[in-house]
Amino acid sequence: MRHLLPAVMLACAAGSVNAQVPFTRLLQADRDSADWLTYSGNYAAQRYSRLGQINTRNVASLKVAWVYQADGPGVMETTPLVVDGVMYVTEAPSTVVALDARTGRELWRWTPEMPANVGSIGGGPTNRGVAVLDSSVYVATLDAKLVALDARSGAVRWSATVADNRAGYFMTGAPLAIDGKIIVGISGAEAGIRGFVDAYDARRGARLWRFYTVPAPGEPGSQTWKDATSWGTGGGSTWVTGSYDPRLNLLYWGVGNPGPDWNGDVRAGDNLYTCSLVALDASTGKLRWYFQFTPHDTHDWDATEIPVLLDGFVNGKARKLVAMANRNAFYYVLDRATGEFLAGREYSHQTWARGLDARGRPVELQAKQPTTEGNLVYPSLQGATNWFSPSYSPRTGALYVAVREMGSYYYKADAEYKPGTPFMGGGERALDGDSASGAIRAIDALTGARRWNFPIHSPPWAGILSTAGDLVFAGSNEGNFFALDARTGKSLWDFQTGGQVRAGPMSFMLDGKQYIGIAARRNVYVFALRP
Amino acid sequence: MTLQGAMNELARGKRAFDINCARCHGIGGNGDTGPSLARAVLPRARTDSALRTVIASGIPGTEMPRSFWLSDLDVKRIIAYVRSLSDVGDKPASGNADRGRELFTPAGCGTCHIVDGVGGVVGPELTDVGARRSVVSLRRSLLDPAAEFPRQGGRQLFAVVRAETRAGTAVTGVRVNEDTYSIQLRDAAGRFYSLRKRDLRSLQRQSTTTLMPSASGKLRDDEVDDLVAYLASLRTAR
Repeated sequence: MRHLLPAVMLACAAGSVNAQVPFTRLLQADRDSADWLTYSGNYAAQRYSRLGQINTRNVASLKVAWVYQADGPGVMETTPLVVDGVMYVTEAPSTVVALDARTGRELWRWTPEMPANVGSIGGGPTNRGVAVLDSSVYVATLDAKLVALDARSGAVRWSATVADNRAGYFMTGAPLAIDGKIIVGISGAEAGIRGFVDAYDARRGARLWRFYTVPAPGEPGSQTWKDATSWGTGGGSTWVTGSYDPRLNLLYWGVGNPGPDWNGDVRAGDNLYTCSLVALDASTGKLRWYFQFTPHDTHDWDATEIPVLLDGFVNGKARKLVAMANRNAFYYVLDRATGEFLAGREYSHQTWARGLDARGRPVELQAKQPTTEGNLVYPSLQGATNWFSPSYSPRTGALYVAVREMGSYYYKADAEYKPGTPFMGGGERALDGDSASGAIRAIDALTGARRWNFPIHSPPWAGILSTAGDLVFAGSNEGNFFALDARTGKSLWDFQTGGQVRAGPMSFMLDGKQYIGIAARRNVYVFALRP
Repeated sequence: MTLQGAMNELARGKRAFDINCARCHGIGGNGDTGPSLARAVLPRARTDSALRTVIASGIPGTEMPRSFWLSDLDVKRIIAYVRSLSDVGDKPASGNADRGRELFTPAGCGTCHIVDGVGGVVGPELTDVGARRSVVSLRRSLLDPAAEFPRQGGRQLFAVVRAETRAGTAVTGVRVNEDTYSIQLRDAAGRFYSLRKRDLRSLQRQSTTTLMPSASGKLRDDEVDDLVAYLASLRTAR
């Protein structure tokens, strides 16, 4: 076999030079199981790999194949993409690096020039990954630019200013590439921005549409902002990558908290579309439907968790569904064509609501509002879960969620709006450390009923991958990266990475061999079965 | 600004301090588990700009957290309030620090605690404990050591843990570190253990227990005063 290798290598090298990822290939990311083409693995955002070579029987012999050590500061939150033998990762604040996926050797690196005083109030200077379409790689930068890079070289093709960083806008999430368009969200609600979702022409960088997550006076939804001026600083960040149903041509995007975070007195009303899921027409950006999880939120419970698309039978009827394990500790199942609420229940300890009514609206306990003295509420500000991806396995029908069991004292204070400065109106004191814990939890994706629970040492900040090998990969703050049996939650393999795992795992196949990738602190680890 | 306005600003600073800082630094800033701030010079925050950095970014490796949620205005008010506390003056220890130093080793403190590079490792290092703890807190730790524990990120440091392996061996010691799959312990004799959780039959954290004996009934009141004065004088990390 050895004499065949050069030919194989040449073929692969040729593939990577072309690196063509047309929209049709992204559509089939489900079946194109050799690569990892989008942040969440497919448009349905299931973070599920159809690769089963690594499975419950052999995962115990998983070993490190290679490690890439980043140059940048901070803890990596990137999900690597792999296309035709090339891996694309990002480092803080907004560097893109292309690696040889067989060895981890660097092919090119692009670091944007940025003002020294670039701001990111309410979120760390981090980056969660890139999008690929045709022969370009797209990155959203901390200073709120969307940049298209040549996938072969890292050369800049175009750069578009999305918003003004000095006014508090910044970007950390991976863009979403669809047919000819790059979709991005924005961060900055802690500085009183007015959030939006944008679409850009993938070839030229012109903005095609913008959907504001806070309506202006007179627009539908504006009646939920009863104070005349509060909408202008109403927040509604869109900082986590959404999902997409190409048949319905709908984008599903989570919207964050209203501003100011903890003092709702100055923004009476439900504050649409904050803490909501919005379904947008991908061609026009027009709102098709919305569902608000936390009306008039005062706990910073962004609905910027990953909206997972799945199909299933509800009350004997086949439905197209979207599910979200929300930061507010409730799990929701909606009809993704109409937004109709179908099921919902608590999946983690909470003390702020009696439950959900028939339409999915929380029955809130008014005594659980933030106060000047501090009010203990579960979950904490960071929520029962957060931006890090859950995973849905079509094989088990379970949604796997990284759960944070932690409460906080919530404080209310005055908030004064000054562009580009904190606009939060209070704070929290978390009951962290020994008073808190974490878990990887399997819940029935159609009902939210708990199937199993794997306790972990502290409230996690890392995503989950499930695979056709019936494995669930997850990580911990203390550096553990581990594999659980997707059906039982039993731990089958673990590895101490030596740094906090704060990213989402992914999987790919090269030369007939399955790999698992995960970023931990400033390293990217790639694992394979021992030969 | 009018005098009334200045008073109001100070009152606002006190309120922000009470909400955000008093849990560790005490009401009035006189110190609790965190050091007293009622002193002329704050070693880690000699200038307002250094104090601003400490408030915003915390002090890595200590229990001082970062406070990202505070507005510039609140930080400014807290700084003004903390600076106003210097008029109050730190509460001095009443004992004799030199006699306390003489007492430290015969009282057995050095068996578990390091001062200036010498001592045991079962309890926290005390080389600069006077800069980190108030006089009240030091006295409380000597007389009722289980009343409070050093913490970091909400985790009890030197927590006493009892682990029993499936083979039947039991270890009691202080937790050095822990993750989902392993725990590291050190027993009273200073022996180190690395344990895989899957090999354990039971693992119990004894959150109200400490390996530190109380000085109550073992030392006279004036000896406790002297030891407190000595500990309060330990202010310089190497």
